[in-house]
Amino acid sequence: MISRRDFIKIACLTPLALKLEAKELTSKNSPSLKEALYYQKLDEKKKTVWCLLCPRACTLSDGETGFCRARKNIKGKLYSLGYASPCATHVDPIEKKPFFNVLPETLSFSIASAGCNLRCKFCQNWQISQVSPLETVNSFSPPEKIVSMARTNRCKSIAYTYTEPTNFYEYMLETAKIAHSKGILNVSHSNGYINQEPLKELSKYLDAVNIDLKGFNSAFYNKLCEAELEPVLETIKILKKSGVWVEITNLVIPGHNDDTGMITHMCEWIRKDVGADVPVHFSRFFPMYKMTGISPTPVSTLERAREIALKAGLHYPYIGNVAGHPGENTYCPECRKTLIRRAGYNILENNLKNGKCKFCGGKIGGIWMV
Amino acid sequence: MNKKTLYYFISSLLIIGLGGIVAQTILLREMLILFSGNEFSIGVIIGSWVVWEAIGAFIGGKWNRKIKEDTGMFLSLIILFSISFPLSVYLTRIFKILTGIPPEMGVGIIPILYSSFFILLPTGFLHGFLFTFSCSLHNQITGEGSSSIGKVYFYEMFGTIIGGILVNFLFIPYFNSFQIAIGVALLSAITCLFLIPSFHTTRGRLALIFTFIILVSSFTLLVGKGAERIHLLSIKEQWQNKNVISYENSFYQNIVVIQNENQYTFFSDGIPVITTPVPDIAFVEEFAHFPLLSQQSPETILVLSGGAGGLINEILKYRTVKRIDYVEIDALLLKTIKKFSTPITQKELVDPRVNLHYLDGRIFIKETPVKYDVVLLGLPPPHTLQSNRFFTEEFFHGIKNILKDKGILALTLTGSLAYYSKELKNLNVCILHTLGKVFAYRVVIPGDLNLFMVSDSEEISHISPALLHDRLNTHKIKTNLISLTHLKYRLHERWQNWFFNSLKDIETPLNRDFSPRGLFYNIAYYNLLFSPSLKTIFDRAKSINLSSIILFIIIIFVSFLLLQRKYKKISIPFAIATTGFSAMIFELILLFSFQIFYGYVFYEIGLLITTFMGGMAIGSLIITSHFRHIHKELRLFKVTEIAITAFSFSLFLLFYYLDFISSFKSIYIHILFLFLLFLSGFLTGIEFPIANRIYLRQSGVLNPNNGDSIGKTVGMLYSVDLSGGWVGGIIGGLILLPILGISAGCIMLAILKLSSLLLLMTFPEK
Repeated sequence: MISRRDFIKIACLTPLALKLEAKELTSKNSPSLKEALYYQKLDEKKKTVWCLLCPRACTLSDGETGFCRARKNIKGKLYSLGYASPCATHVDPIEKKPFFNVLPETLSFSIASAGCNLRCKFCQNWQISQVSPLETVNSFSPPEKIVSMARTNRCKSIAYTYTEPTNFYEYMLETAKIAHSKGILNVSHSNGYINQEPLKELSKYLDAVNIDLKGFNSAFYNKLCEAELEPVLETIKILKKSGVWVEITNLVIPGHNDDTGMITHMCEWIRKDVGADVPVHFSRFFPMYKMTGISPTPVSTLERAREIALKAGLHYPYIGNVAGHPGENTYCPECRKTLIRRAGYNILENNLKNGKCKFCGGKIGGIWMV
Repeated sequence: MNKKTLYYFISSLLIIGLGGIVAQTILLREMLILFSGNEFSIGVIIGSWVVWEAIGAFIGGKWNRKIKEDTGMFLSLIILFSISFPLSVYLTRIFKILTGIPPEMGVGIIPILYSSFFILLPTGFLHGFLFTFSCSLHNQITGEGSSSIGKVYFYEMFGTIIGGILVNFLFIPYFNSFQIAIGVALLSAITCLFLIPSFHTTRGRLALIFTFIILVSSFTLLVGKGAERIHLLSIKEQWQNKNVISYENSFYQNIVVIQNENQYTFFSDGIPVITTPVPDIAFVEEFAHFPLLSQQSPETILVLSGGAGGLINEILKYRTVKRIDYVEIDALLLKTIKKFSTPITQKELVDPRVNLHYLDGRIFIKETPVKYDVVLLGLPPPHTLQSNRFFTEEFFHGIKNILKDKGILALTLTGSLAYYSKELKNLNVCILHTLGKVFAYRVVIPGDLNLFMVSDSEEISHISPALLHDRLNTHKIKTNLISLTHLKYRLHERWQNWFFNSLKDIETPLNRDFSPRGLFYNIAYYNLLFSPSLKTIFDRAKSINLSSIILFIIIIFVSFLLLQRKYKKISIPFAIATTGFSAMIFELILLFSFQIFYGYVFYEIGLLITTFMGGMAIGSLIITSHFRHIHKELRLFKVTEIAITAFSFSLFLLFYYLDFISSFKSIYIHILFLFLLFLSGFLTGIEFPIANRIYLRQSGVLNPNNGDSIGKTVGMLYSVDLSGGWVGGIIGGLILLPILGISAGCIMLAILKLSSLLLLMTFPEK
């Protein structure tokens, strides 16, 4: 028999205990905090910090979150909100990233935490790119767990994709290190809006990157993405210099970046400053996110863009989002025979042998073996 | 003042009524193209018009006129209105350029609010101002005192009815917006001309000059090519250098065709719906082949919307298919596609196996004697009360009735292959559960567009990549995307598991005809695209129920009870506001319910709206002409309030015992709807003139010489009436009906009117 006093004690404490337990459960679901790399403390007293990860160079006061919504100043220290808190983890064919010259017919373990340092009006993954990791439902997945899941699902690579991986830089970097140690490749799809120093560090562990070269003038980047072109061009050059395999995606939006002059200019720059072996994916645009009242890209525009690329001397121009189009195939730049025939993400025919053309023996750019 | 002048004055009132409804209709349609509208934005745009009318009416009432019989001012107002209408059309078209928004960009509800507010300012304000001004002027001309209000209300309403019929049946299908606006200006100018000669002030002469200018210029623009040219120029600016090769209107929608290189894109109200010659290959192949390959030998197929441009072409590849019924509500879309045909569309629309039907899909499924192997619902997720009718439990039952034993229904819904936000989860769960209530088996193929396939036959849950691929080969069908690898990828259990896991903790009510929850969830999702800051409002609104609404009404009642201590007569404006609110909701409920029973047929809708407004006009006329015989207006007013309360309650009973009513013969239900619409309009129409009369009598100023009081009173009451209607329109269509459902909505109205009746008891009796 318990005393009246004990009974009251238990009756009051139990709900309190339950509430605490509930709180603990909540904090387990909330993103874990990891101190960010690449930032500077500006003012010890005012606790302001200066983020140095991307060209935005946000100056943040205590409690403020950066433009990307994924890095926050908490009492004078900058933290990455999305570390080990991905909102998306999936197994996708590597062709979806898109990578056409990297390990065809293999699976890629794809992850993302919420946030992005651009504001593209045509974003496909806006639901997670235009919000903070605090607003998404995340699974707690430390870097080791990601690598382990990749192996369980027989993925040859881990893809940092969907949103902008730059804003979960620390998570990406640590996972990439572990992945390499286990013989898993690291691939990423990025907008290229990252500063040189963090990029060079990351390049040590990245094997392939697809950069969205959204348009080839600043006006386009300003108007539709609230960003600048130059940093993206620098990123592409640095990646190439670092030996990372680069593929470029150009989403062709009618009336905005489909101009022949712009496309020619872009292809010539790629050929001269990056290399003829860089695949370029000219993708068909369909109404997306805020751009709802627009016609899709005419297939003839994409065909024209591909012709321009070939003329400029690029070896692997592709047409994306037009299932079954011959522009989806990989052709040998030497003998012009079909090396890889595709329909969407599916490989129908593969005429590569050890990274060389089966017909003429010419070396084909890409990553064909682990 | 002779009779002739009075007649000219009355005809100008008719023109004002006509001009108002024409302007409202045309500007609403133009703005829907501009903003790619849904039910919420429709409510907001109409709301902006109503707000400006209310403000205009209020100020018009307070307007201090020193000149007697100020017909000159009246004419100036009409002239200003007739100029502002075409200018507003132009402003709407160039609005995105002015504000620097790219023409392809959708906008959120807040920009829609302030832009519609801005665009509708001149026309709405002037129209409201004209109403109250006309009441005082009528009184000055005829000396009829408070009866003027009822009479002017009647004449304007009559003009509104005529204008409503003309604009929808005659103007829109045959003339462009500028021709219509300039035509209204011409009509107004002619009417003004007749009013001027009886008048000799400087103002009158000025009005004469302006009237002539308007008359001549509008005539020239209409008869010559001027209006056409302005129209084409403004379209070019609106679409900002896109190659617009066709621009046509039907009752249902605006269809624009843009040509880019060899591609045609067909836009419906500013949204692209079909692209030729090369469609979205992945979409048309998957939407056609997944359902058809899930059938052993598909023979009869029904496509409800979205068939042309690639989908039907895929279906035609099956040699076993003997019949395709393709239903589109609007003949204009297919007529335009035929006009700009490409190899695929030519094949689709000419093949003898394809039968085209131009009517509402819900009527078609009721009437068709055919049983189908596969039904494809090619509509986007519900964005209006009208389109929600194709995603409800009742509709799915209707489909079940026309499916063969192993028949399949397939539809698509917004989805994701990365992440499900709460809003997206709610939308998918709602429709999925509704489908699950009707069909025993389901298959979900998650994607950026989720493909749902449902059937009462177990066979559908046994489909596999190997089986589908086998059948593809048996049928000898060539596709670009569908291959064994692709089928394995799309049907992989990994996606199924992730999809159902993402949705597992979500519970939503079903989507039903009279409880359109699906609409609410879709609008809440769509809102995320443009106004994510409003997310919380939608989240909270989700959990509104009848008890919280009743509590809210009680709070309002008590507040007004307290206010009554200071403003003794406040119960009358409160009654008028709540009647305005109720009238809007009655109209919404009855129109919407009619569509559930009979489908969306444009001339029927016109008839129904006319009946409602006719009821209002006749109500106000009868009351006004019997004012002499009525001495206890307050008692009559209270009786009307009781009648409206009883009406709300009977509507509730009607919808509660809906199954019983549905068993009646169709023609009787039809008559019932017309009667109910007329009655609700009638009761509303009676209240307004009585309210004015009571108010004036209470102020001791029934004297017809006191034009100022007439103006002030009608200004205040009219604006209150409109405000009630505005709240009803926005909240009713978007939140109350989709969340509460119709029966609960009627109870809410009954309680609201009961509260206003109770408040009326506090009205001071002299």
